Amino acid sequence: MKILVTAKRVTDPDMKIKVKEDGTGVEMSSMSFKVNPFDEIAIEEALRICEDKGGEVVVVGIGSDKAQTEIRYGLSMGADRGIHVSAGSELDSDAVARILKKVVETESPDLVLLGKQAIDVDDNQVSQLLAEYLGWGQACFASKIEITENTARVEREVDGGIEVVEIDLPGVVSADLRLNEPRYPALPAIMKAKKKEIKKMTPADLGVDTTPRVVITQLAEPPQRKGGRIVEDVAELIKALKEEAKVI
Amino acid sequence: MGKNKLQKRVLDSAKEFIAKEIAPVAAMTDEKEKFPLKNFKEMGRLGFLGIPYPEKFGGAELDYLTYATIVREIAKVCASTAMSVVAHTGLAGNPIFSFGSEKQKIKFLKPLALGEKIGAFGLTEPNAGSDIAAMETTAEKKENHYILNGTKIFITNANVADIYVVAAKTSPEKGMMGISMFVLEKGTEGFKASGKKEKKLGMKGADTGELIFDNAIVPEKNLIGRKNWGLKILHQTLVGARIGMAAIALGISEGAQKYCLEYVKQRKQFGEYLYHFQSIKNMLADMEMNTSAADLLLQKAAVMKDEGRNVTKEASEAKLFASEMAMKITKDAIQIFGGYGYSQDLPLERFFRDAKITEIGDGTSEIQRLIIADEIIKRPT
Ligand SMILES: Cc1cc2nc3c(=O)[nH]c(=O)nc-3n(C[C@H](O)[C@H](O)[C@H](O)COP(=O)(O)OP(=O)(O)OC[C@H]3O[C@@H](n4cnc5c(N)ncnc54)[C@H](O)[C@@H]3O)c2cc1C
Ligand SMILES: Cc1cc2nc3c(=O)[nH]c(=O)nc-3n(C[C@H](O)[C@H](O)[C@H](O)COP(=O)(O)OP(=O)(O)OC[C@H]3O[C@@H](n4cnc5c(N)ncnc54)[C@H](O)[C@@H]3O)c2cc1C
Repeated sequence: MKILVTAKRVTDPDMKIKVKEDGTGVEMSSMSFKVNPFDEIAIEEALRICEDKGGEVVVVGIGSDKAQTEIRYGLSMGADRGIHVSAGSELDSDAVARILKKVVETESPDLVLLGKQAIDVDDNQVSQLLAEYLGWGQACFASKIEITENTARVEREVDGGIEVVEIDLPGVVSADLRLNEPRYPALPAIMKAKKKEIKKMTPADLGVDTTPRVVITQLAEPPQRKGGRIVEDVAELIKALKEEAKVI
Repeated sequence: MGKNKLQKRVLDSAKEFIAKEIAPVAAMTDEKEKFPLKNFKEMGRLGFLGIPYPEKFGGAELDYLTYATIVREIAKVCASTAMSVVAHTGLAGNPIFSFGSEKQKIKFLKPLALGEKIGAFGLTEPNAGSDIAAMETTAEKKENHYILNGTKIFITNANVADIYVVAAKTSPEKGMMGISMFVLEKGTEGFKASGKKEKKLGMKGADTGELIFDNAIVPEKNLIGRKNWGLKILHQTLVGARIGMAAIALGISEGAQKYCLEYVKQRKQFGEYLYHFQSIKNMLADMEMNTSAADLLLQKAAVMKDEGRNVTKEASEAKLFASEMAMKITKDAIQIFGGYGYSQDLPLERFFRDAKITEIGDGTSEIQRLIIADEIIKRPT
């Protein structure tokens, strides 16, 4: 079993973010970063599958040289080796999916496991696009994965219950929050991860044009929450909801 | 003194575990006086318990500075847990690592480093605390084993440990020079923890108990180093342990300081935030200066130890200063919080109670002053 997993470098979800003054992005200078929590879940799942069935886990990260930190994190969790596709600027989901397609073609994994979305931009598109470009089956938002000979049986949480889908392997699966609880890397494993291989490539090596097709034109802080108001009676409440809030 | 990238990665990973797993149970660990077994085992799996030891003995093969830094991070949120770690890794692990045979290291140090077993260190006795020479526990050689008789008190991890490193007199007539160190396993005939759990002012989550040796039969191969090497082994062990204790004291101080810096920006009296008042500023300034100074002394001692130098004086300085500052800083922290600081709803009073042991354990402040003075008096002038 060979599993390709993704490790995106994202802003630490526990930190407060600030929009740049010109609205073109997020103020990065004071931010700390970590691996996308959904990717962490995907890595954990890949490790569990391979611990059970044997195999290799390869972590792919796309981004600046700093993105190697998150690839190393995956390696310190226990993944076998890494691939770093260096890309200077922020890529849109489509470019990421096209890069991953090329990586998949060179690595020929049995399964690609990704986080369902990255918690920075929350696009939630890469897994679906990738499956489409590869022409593989996709099972997104997995809360349980069972691997058999050449299929993956995936449970996904939907409103009112669990939906079960089965896809042929090779295929694409994306991890939802309750799939597992990722392990903390052990200190000796962090030491060992230092010596594991990270292969470096560029989008050009892979023949992918990363010119953005989606451009962010404006970002803005959400409006400040105003304090509440205590009303005298129901009549006043209804009036306020109708005339001020205009919700009924 | 900069940290390299790898140390930073190790530290970030440790911080995450500490914040998510140790911090949330710290108040409960104190209140219930419950040894944090689950987290202890998990720390073993994560390699926190054998940080400075080689990989072949189950360690993470990192330096003493990293070890001290992680102990300090733990103490910022739960000093009881940090104290248990230091007794295990430093006090019990170090004598085996530094003086034990290869076989002893595989048999005893490795399971300690991996957290499969828990370690304790028994030196203190009812009539021998600071005065090691007054030790009454004896070890008499019989054929291929030693017979131990005596009692050890105030032993950290006594009731939860599986492996015990203990001091006993093999040549009582030689006084201080007649001490040897042994490693004992739980279940050794004639040896047990009495089951008494010391009720304490602080460090309530750390287990403290008594060891009873009643004709305990200890195989000769469990002697650490050579016969009558005890003093030398104890000296090195305690010097190392003082760096750990300094790290605990500094961690407690930093934990308290962090709360203060948040509170002074939230609490208003007389229409002003507390940081506005000069007497509060004075306390904040002293806190910062004293934690910075303790940090430098600690780092100096740890780095020098990593360089293989003699740190007798430096370890005592770091421990003495950090522990006395921990008392002052935690006292001031309660003061800054006023009535809220005195309440168990916040951890300030716990920090204050936990701080006190750092002035007593691994040699009292008075003893540290004797050590420092003796070290400088013997310097050529
Ligand atoms: C929570 C806790 C955990 C502990 N864990 C361990 C452990 O794991 N293993 C272990 O072996 N021990 C442990 N100890 C024991 C600890 O190391 C001793 O308490 C400490 O060494 C002091 O000894 P004592 O309590 O007998 O005090 P004493 O030695 O009786 O000292 C009483 C007072 O006299 C002062 N004094 C003594 N001699 C001199 C002198 N020559 N000059 C000036 N002043 C002096 C001391 O500084 C102190 O103020 C622990 C203690 C506690 C409270
Ligand atoms: C066990 C206990 C029993 C108590 N019993 C009673 C009781 O029976 N009845 C009752 O009414 N109250 C009682 N109290 C409350 C007690 O009187 C208050 O805690 C005390 O007055 C301090 O107020 P505070 O806690 O709000 O601290 P704060 O007033 O918030 O003070 C916080 C810190 O800021 C400092 N500070 C505040 N203003 C200034 C300033 N202008 N300049 C410099 N520094 C300043 C304070 O000195 C303190 O260090 C009790 C409290 C405790 C803990």
